[in-house]
Amino acid sequence: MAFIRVSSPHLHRPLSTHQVMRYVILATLPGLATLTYLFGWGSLINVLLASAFGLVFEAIVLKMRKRNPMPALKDNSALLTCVLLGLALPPLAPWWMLATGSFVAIVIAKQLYGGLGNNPFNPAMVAYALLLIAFPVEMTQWISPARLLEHTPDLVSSLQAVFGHPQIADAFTMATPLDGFKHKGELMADEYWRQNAFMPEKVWEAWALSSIAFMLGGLFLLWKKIFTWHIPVAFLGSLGLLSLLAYGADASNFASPMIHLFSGATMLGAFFIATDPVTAATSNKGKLWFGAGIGVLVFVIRTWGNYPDAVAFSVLLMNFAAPLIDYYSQPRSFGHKKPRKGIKHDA
Amino acid sequence: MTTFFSQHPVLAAVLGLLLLALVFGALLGYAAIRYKVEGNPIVEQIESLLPQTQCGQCSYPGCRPYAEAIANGEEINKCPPGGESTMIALADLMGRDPVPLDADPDTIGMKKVAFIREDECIGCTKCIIACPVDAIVGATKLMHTVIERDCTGCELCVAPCPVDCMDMLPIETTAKTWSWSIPQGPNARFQANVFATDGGQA
Amino acid sequence: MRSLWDFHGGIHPDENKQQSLQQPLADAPLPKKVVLPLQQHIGAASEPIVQVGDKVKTGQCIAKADGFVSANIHASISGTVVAIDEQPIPHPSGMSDLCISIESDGLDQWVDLTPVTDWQTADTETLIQAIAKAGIVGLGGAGFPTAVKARTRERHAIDTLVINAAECEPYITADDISMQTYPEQIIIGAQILCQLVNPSSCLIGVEDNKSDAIKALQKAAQGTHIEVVVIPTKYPSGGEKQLIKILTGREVPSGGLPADIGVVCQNVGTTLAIAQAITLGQPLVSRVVTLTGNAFTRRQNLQVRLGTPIHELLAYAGYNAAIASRLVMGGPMMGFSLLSDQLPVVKTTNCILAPTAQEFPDPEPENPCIRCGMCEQACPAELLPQQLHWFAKAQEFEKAQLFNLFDCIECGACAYVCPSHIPLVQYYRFAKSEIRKESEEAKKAERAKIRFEQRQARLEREEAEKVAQREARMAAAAAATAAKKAAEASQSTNLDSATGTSAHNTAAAPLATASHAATSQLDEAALKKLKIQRAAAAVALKKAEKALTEAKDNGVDVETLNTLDQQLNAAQQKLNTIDQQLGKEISPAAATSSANATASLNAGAQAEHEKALKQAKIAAAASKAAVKKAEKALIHARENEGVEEISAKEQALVIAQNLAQKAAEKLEALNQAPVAASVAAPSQSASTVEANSSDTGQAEYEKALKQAKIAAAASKAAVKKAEKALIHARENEGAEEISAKEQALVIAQSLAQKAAEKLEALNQTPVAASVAAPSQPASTVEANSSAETGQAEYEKALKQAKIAAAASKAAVKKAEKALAQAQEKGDATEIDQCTDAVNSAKNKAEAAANKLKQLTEAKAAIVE
Ligand code: SF4
Ligand code: SF4
Repeated sequence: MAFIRVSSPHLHRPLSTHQVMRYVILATLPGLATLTYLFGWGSLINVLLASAFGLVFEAIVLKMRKRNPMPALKDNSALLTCVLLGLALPPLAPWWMLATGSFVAIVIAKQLYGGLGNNPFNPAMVAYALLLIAFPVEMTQWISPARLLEHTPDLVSSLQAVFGHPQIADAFTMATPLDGFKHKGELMADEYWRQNAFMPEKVWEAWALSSIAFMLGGLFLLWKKIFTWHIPVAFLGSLGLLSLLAYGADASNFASPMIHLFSGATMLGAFFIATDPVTAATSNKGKLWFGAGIGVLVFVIRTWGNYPDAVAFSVLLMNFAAPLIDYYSQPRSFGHKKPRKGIKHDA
Repeated sequence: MTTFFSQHPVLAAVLGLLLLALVFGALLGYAAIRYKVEGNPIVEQIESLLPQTQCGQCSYPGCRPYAEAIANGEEINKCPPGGESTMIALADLMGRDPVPLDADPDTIGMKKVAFIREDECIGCTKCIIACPVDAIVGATKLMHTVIERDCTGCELCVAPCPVDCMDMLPIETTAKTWSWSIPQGPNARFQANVFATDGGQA
Repeated sequence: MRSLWDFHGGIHPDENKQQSLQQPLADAPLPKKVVLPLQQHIGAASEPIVQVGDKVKTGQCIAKADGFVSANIHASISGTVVAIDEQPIPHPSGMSDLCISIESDGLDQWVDLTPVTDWQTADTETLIQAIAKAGIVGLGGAGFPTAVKARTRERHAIDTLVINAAECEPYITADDISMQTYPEQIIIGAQILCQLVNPSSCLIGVEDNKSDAIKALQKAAQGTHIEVVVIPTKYPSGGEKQLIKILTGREVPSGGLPADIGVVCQNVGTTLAIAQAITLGQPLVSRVVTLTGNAFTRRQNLQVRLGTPIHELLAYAGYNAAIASRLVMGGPMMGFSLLSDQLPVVKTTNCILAPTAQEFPDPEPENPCIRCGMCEQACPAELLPQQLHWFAKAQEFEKAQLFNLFDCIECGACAYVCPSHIPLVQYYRFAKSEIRKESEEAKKAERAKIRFEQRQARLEREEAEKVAQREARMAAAAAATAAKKAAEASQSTNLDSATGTSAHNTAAAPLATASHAATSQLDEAALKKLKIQRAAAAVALKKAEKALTEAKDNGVDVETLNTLDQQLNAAQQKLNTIDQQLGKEISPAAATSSANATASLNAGAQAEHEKALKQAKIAAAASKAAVKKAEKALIHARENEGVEEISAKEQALVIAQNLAQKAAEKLEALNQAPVAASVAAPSQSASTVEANSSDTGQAEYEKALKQAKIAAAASKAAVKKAEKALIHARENEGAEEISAKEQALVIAQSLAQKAAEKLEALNQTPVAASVAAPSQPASTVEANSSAETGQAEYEKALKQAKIAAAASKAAVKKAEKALAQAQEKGDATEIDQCTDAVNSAKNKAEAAANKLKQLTEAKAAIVE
């Protein structure tokens, strides 16, 4: 036996970073499956392709940084980032968009900041925002819920669409409900729904279904105590409350809370993106502020902003604010009367 | 007046700007007086960073004179007892670039304390005279001794001793002063801090 | 059912307690040899009171508590003390410390135990003394001396006594088995504690996973007001602060003590030890240790004698080194890994854990923090461990402190849950020790700066004074020259006129007058000399008398008394001889030319010496004045309370004393000169000359002694001053100030010691001088002068040494008080500081005591 000097504790909970990441990836599977079922192969191809690109980029960068890439690759963090990116991008996004997105997420947003744990911004969302700004049209076209409309792009045409024939994709895509709602022009909300006669029920159902699938995955993570309830609840709560108030005040001009909560990236954002621990606030109180902030921003941007969806921007903005929130939301420590506010010297 | 300005818009703009400048200047001036921060004079700040060893290795007779010299543009790398960290802190404070220390790298930052081999001491008082912090007690022809607590390890007492009974001993770690070192950090393979291997009893 | 509170966070690691509970508590085999570290507790190390080779019995006190916060240590087996030296101690550092090693004689003979049988009615002090005597310290892990804690009531209002029986660490069952085995004794211990603390409620908090222990305790507690409270199992509910929160809902304030919120908390093992100490009179010589982990074949709890080498226990419990992954002392959460198995069991050893690699695999490599916040959810101190880790890693210690780093109890819950396997606790330990080091260094730098500046100021002042003096002297010299010139001028005028008036006088008459005058002058000189001799002898006589009375008063043994008596007689005789001589001198007829010559010779030497002596005396007086001045200045400074000023003054005092010493040395040198001179002188009047020189020696010694005495007194005064200043500082409670004062005290004490040494040195010189003198003259004189002088000097030196010893004792006391206060405040750094101070003061005291001893011995030698 060797006499070794190790600091206590000597016991360790059998849960490691890579396992945490794996849990999160696993939890996205219901959502991914639903998306695939409803919208065809697009999302699955997205996820796989983005992951492949992401891992390759990660390995290259680590090699260039003269680090051993194996441990980092094994920790599943790059994989998770790319899975989330693939889920957030519209199905049948062209391969170069996926490549660009993975590059931005892994190389720029993560590794250039020092790798796992040091990136101030959620890498997947940085990539998403950049793509959204650079390719607004591609990014807001969402494949129509194929299964529901009997227009299934099969695997082959899906692949063709991804690798070089975007026009194939065009045949299947349409604006997302949120985007459509945004560009409804002068129409009143209910008129809009009525006009797009083929959209409502079924499309709506498809979005709601996938949202629910993501929510289930999120609940699984909550149960597994991978993250705490604070961010999702604060996010969904503030978004729901604001939209409810607005809808209650003026139902003809504002989308209903149901649209806000169960379409777009809300659920994916609330459970998988905003909860990214690296870039979120850290104390429980801070997480409440952080989540609520995202909810408010999402509502504001969706309602008055130029972009149809807002999760990416809201998360990024709150990432900005996270250090500040951390400073001002220190918990009250045991034996202290009051929490310390910010880094101030009380000399 | 109004017509004048409307006829000479450029002039009006310039005048307006001037007026604004005056107002803001006055405001700023007032603020500078009203909210003046009684800042530490720079020498004081520099001195507070120096280790107060008073060893004179910087070629100045004590830390304060060196602090004054730094304030007047002397190099910041002349304090071996302070080591790298002091130099960097000075660079920070003075807004200068860090420069490598001007000293034998082996001796930088080593904490030592003077020790008199008491049976060899002849009581010449030379070391007392040399000690910048009066950390040596003794009297003529009587044994001298170093107050360990006050010794800054400046070594100034070593050279004057005619019988070489002065040692600079590194301050040893004891079980009481021992402390945990900083962990190796991420991505470092765990290298067991192995102390002995033991076939052991069955 | 009592309502319970919860604390934030906490974890639920696998308990693994059953393994070691299968067997009942058993006695470990008697060790062949024990090694007892002198520091097994918080506070000052104990002071050994046995010597190598001493035979000791089990339970015999072998090291005494040294200071207020310290504890006695007892022999845990009977046998022979074989070593008092540095031995590896169980400590994360793996370093060594002073230990007493005892080799067993295999008999295990106990000392007679003195129980406090009537503890129900005994007064508090008796009980506390008994606890202190038994060397009981907190057995839960920290090792805080229990007697000190038992005195909490003297300063705080206490309403709740909490007995900590939570034992929340996995694997450990030492408390559990103790409760199952000795429930009655534990209840008695709790009752004794209640008597000491007098709380309104006494709660024993036990985690609900110890059902047997709970049943046993509840049964034993029936009919008492002691309540056994079952709390939910959650690590670290056994943390003092956490347990108090659970039981009372109160939070120990950050940096405070449980006593601040009216609670005293004792470990259940300690409670048992108290009961055994009081009801059986049994000192703390053994404790219950859990041996567990899968690398043992016999996992069980043993009653182990303190100091038992761990490898003996390992062998007993069937330890399989091949499959063990490490050895841990303490539990898996807070224990530390051992770097050897040649280490003793100490008072705080509750568990020896020998896990296999399956149980405790090697730590996984650290990954970057993903800020998952799991650590925060687990932290019972409600800290943000991830932020603390971040700051510790970046060495931003200031920020770490702002995030309450020092409230971390190092429970390890955060590191347990961290998915990135970050050794968080090590980061915190590192940061804490760095912060402590930094503040020490800053303090030291500040002190160095102050001392440097003061020295600078002093040097300048001295320089200025020197210049001023030089100028004054030059001015005086100039004035003197001017005066001389003026006098010469007037004299020459007088001479001229005299020549003019008495030009016709014969030459014979003035010649005769001159010769007559010369003779009478010589006579007078001899007379004067004799008178001085007489005075000196008289002084010597007086001294001898005084010494005798003093000796009588002090009850010195008969022999010394006799010697002193003889000395007195001799002095008397000498005085008589001188008196006779004086009578002869006075009768003019006896003035022969040879006598005249001798007398003149003597007179010349005498006069010279007189002059030199006078000078020396002046110098001595001057330095004495300087010392006095410095003292006054010091007093003044003390009143004005500026630490800086005080130390400056102390330095001045040091210098003054040095000067005084120099003066004394000069006197000494002068002293030797007359002896040499008289040796060279013709030996006709040898006896008188001898007597004379030895007399002069006597007088000079008197002076030198006086001088030394002054120096000693001055340093004594300085010591006193410093002490007072220290007391004062202590009242104002500034730790820095205190340490400055302590330093001053140390300096003063070392000065006192130096002064004493000097006295001793002076002491030896006269003896040598008188021995060197030719031996024709009456041996009585010689014996007389040397012995007498020696005696007197010893008296002084002794006094001096006594003073020094007393002063250092006082210093020790002071430092101890400071320590107690620091301890009360609970500031670990301060405690350490004070402990150091106490130790150094102790050393001083010891040195002084040694000196005293030496002096006493030397005295005997000299008298012979
Ligand atoms: S548990 Fe570990 S990884 Fe998670 S936040 Fe704390 S330190 Fe970081
Ligand atoms: S070790 Fe310190 S920071 Fe970690 S959980 Fe325990 S108290 Fe909190």
